[in-house]
Amino acid sequence: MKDRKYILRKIKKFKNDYRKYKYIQGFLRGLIISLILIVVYVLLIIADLLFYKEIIVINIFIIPEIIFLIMAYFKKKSERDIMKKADSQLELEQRLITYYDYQIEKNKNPFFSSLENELATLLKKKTKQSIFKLDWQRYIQIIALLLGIIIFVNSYFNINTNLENQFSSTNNISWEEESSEENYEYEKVEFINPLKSNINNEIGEELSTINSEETNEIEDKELNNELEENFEKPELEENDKGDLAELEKRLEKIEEENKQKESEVNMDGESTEENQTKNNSHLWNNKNKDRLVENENNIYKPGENDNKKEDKDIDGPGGKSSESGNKEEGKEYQAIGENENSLSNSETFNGEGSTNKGKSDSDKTGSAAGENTGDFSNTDDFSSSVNVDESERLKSQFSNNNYLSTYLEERYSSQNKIKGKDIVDSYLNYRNFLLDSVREENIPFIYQEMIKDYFIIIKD
Amino acid sequence: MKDIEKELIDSKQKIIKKLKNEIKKVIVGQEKVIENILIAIFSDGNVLLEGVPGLGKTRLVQTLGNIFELEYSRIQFTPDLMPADIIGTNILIEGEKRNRHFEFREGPLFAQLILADEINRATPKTQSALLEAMQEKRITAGGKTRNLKKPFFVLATQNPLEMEGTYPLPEAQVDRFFFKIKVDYPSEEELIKIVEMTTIGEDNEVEKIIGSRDLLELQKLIRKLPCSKEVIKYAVRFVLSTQPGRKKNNKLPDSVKKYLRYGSSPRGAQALILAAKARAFLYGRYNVSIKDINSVSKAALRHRLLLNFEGEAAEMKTDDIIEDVIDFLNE
Repeated sequence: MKDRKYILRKIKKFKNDYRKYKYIQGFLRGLIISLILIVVYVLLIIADLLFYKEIIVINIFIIPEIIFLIMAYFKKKSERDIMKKADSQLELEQRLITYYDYQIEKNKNPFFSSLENELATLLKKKTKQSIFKLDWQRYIQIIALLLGIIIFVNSYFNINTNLENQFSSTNNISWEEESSEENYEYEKVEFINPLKSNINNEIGEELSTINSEETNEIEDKELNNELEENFEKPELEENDKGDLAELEKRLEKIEEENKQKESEVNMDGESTEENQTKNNSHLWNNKNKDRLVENENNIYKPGENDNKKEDKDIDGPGGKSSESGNKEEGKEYQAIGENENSLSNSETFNGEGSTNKGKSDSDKTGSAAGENTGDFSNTDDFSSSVNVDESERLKSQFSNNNYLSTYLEERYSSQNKIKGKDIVDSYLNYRNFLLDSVREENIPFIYQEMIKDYFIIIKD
Repeated sequence: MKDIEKELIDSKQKIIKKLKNEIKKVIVGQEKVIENILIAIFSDGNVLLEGVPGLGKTRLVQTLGNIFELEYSRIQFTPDLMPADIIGTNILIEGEKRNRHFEFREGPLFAQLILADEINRATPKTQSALLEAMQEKRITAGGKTRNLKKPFFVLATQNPLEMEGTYPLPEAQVDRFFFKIKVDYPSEEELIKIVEMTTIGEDNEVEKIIGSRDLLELQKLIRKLPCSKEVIKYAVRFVLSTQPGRKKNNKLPDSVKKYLRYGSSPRGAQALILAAKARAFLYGRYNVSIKDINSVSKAALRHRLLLNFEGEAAEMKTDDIIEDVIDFLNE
């Protein structure tokens, strides 16, 4: 009787052992599957083939574990199978399974009690032996291997990335060094040249009409081609947006530098009137800068306090608004900054500064840069440098919010995905350029709102 | 009740120990052969002993006849031996009142332990006369069927080398042998002992240890030995694995597919289980194990497997094929 109880207790223990074994096995298998999935995940990330990137890594661990534990719970062995396993593991020579089979007819069989005694004796001898042995060594080897793969792949990828970054940063530096001049020239050629010609006009230098016409035509063509080429290109990657904080700092620095430059220009030997004009424009610039961060609807009315110069010879790109421009577009024009003089002195200009001021007060949306609207009737030499098509194209680009991307594409088309500080510098340069352009009335004042919008977008 | 049964089991196991010791007095070595013969006797089976002359086959059977308190008879099979010579025949007998009548005169087969020496020398007709006696334990002669005394065993011997003037046993008859036991040459040490024993002194006398009644009890008891379904399944799978044409869709050992023409009959599976039970009992265990099945498989199945032409040409032995099957089943 004691033997029977002992054997039954043992059988129960075998069943419990089996459950434990299954759960541990399920856990380990889940862990292995998890690690395999992580290896695949890491490889997919490295290969940039991961479609769904918002995978939570902890889920990769938890889900297989849960699945395997559920499987372990439902996948049960029959008692007979457990007995068979115990027989083979404990080397009982089918005593246990025979005992299990003959339990029903235990009273009929003359050998049963002898078998029971024999089995109990053997089981007592083999208490320390476990039936369901996990192959820990194998599991540890597999897990170690998978962890090794993950660590290796991760570290290898990180090293490569670091090297790549270092390499690209050195390239950027050299590019910066080279491009600072090249881009400056490029800007001068592509964008700043009209400004330059304006400044030259302002300081009284006579420009060759033919030269400027030719230059502008060539430049316009180049610009048109490049812009058209880049117009359809996709926007730059988000990664290229760079550090915004740094952008702001640099922006401030550049603004300060600009102020210094402007002050230096004012300190040059210009006429009082010109100085006044410059000062006014400087004042306007300051105001304008303030307005970039203030309410964008408060449009500055530049003609209000400016001196009205009677000099007919002075052509200014800012005074490019014309009758035809007004008539064609049917908008109220607003002279901006230092070019007000030329606007006010223009014989064919319909409205004086005061008139314009009044109109622009009431109609804040109707301002248009002279550059974009046409040329002065009495400034034939300069009028040829202003291309109506180009101004229209730029305008349309602004209105389509494509100018920034076009510009950036244009800047980086020859470079291979420049990251980091370069992009910050580029933004700053670009902003600076835009501010200058607004200041110089190459870009109408009204577009400063759009410029502001662009930089707000970047900030966001 | 249980105590009585346990005592019975214990007493029988003591008898078996004595039996082994008594056989060892006469037969040197050949332990496996002795074990298999005892297994066959405890399983109520007939044995075919195969070995070259001079290995002590006949002596072993004679010893067994002396140890078991059984009626023992020896039949030397020759080509001119007729069935009536072994079964018996009706003879005309004149009575006291001078009346004559036929009376059946029993042949040597009417015994309990038969030594059919060189059975393959007799004609198939005579060999087939043994069939009914071996399987049914009865003899029909002169239109009358007579039961043989129980227990009844036929221990036949045959010489595998000398094939001239012999008649190989037909498959049907071979299948009726429970075991086919191969008797090999003794080892050097065993041979020294044999020579010493048989040339120096007189032959050792053996005691009669177990009578027919005890033997029948033992046979019945052994049949009750617990055998789990797993072991029975294993024995069945064993037999099925020897049948090349049967398990077409399942995997079989290559040697079975290549060299066997016919596999074992169901009688082979019966023999495996019964022999395994007897072996377990002989070893003092109370259940049948797979180890027992494997151990008796060669003796139980080697004469039930029929090699094909390729097997014969390759001089394959059925023992090798059985080993392949064991390996196959335990993979």
